[in-house]
Amino acid sequence: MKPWTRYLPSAALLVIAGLAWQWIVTARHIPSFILPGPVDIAQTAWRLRSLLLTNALPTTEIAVLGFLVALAAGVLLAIAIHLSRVVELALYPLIIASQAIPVLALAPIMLLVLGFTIGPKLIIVALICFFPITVNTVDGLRAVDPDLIRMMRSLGAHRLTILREAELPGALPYLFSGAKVAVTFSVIGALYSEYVGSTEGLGYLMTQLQNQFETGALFGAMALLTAIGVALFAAVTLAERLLIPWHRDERAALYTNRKGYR
Amino acid sequence: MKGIEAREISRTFRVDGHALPVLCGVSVAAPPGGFVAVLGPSGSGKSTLLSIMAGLDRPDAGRVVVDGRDVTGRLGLAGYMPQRDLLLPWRRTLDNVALGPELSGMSRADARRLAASHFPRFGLAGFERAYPRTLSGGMRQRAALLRTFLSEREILLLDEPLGALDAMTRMDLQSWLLDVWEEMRKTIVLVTHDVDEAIYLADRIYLLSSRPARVSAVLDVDLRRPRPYDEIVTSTRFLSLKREILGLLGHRPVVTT
Ligand SMILES: Nc1ncnc2c1ncn2[C@@H]1O[C@H](COP(=O)(O)OP(=O)(O)OP(=O)(O)O)[C@@H](O)[C@H]1O
Ligand SMILES: [Mg+2]
Repeated sequence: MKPWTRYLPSAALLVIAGLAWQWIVTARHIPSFILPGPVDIAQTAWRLRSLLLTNALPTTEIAVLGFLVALAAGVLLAIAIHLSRVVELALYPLIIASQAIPVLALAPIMLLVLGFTIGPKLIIVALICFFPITVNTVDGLRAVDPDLIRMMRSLGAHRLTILREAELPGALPYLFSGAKVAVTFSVIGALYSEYVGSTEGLGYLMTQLQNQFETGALFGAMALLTAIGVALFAAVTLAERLLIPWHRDERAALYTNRKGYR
Repeated sequence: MKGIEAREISRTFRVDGHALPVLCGVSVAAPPGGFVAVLGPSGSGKSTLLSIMAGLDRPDAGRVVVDGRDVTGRLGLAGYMPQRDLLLPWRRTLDNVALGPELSGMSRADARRLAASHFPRFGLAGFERAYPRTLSGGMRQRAALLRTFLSEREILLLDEPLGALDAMTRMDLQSWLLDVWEEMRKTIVLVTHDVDEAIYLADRIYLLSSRPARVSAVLDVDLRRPRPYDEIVTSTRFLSLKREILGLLGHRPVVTT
């Protein structure tokens, strides 16, 4: 399969949905401030392109930085949980509980405490993103073949050597599964963080557009957000390919004969 | 030079609430610089014995002794090669082999140089940068064997190190193993269920009964060294030892002569 042909089916689906959408909007004479058609959206978005793009920049920045904070925190937490039973007992329940925190309600409080800096925004994004990274990485650290660890122990390897040479590399594929989920959350998180206490970004812009019934531009902003999410996901996938070539080999071997048994 | 001894080792596993006695007062001794083979049927407890000697598992009774000192449960004293090759999937073959000397404290660069210098001899030349999953089973086992040899331990515990090899490569590596052993003078305990291999390689053979394992016989192999392969395995002494062992194992060889 050529790389671009694999996107054909989903592209076709998008086109069909777009046509149906346009047809409904036109046939039913739905006013564009309630539900604009794709053509309308494209025109509006093009007209407001510089406004959309200038606001996309800070949102992307917060999503990326917040994701990186989550990545660092998530992996460090996972290692601590893996190495120490006490840390596990102390932190795991709290980590799970942290996912029940209503982030939208938390945001204004954090702004009051920390002020209008980038800090609270990053915390909001990281809070949403770290969970899948931590949980997956802990699973990965535990999934390493125990015989591998026995072999290394018999050769006199220290605990941290085993962590560095066996457990962490073995956990990388798991870590990336978590990171891929997290990075898609990060865009939503960035949006949340801008709903309150922000004067720029797509989140801020969208509340403004909503108030002004600029539904076309609103949809344009949503499309842009989607594009940012997909791009970040692709970036993480690329990093995965570069960082774990041995894993890609393994998967490639798994699928080479796929046509054969289909 | 150090020797290693397992004294009166007993080990019972618990499986689903049942006791599974595996080793029952097994004693095995490898004198300094000696080559000892442990021969026994599958499932008799050979791997269990070896991992106890490696310090990875603790016996319920008995001791492991190195140089007259009790080292039961101590890790890192002997180079241990498990039955599975256990190469790290994320390390290229050269780096996998270099792990042996690396864990003994050698710098990575030196370890890689040392490892690379042995690759041709092991039939691994050209595969330095290959990931383990792209190697054949035999190559993986050779890489694991090399890793163990280069771990700079005087005592080596080898669990069926040539088990995954075809007959030809196996013969080659058996001769090679003897060469290296004679050159490097290591103390070796080798587990196998191949009678020929045990006789050809070892000074002494410990025969284990089936589970729960006891030492059912100890045979000294009085074949001369060095041992050219073809000559030795066709010698009358070799064949009479083989007959004796097969008899002890309960196989009555069909006598045609
Ligand atoms: N960790 C364990 N827990 C429970 N039972 C075990 C464990 N390790 C080994 N056994 C059992 O002990 C017995 C001996 O196993 P072991 O691997 O030592 O045999 P072996 O002689 O090496 O066999 P083979 O020649 O097939 O490798 C087997 O019945 C096995 O099921
Ligand atoms: Mg075994």
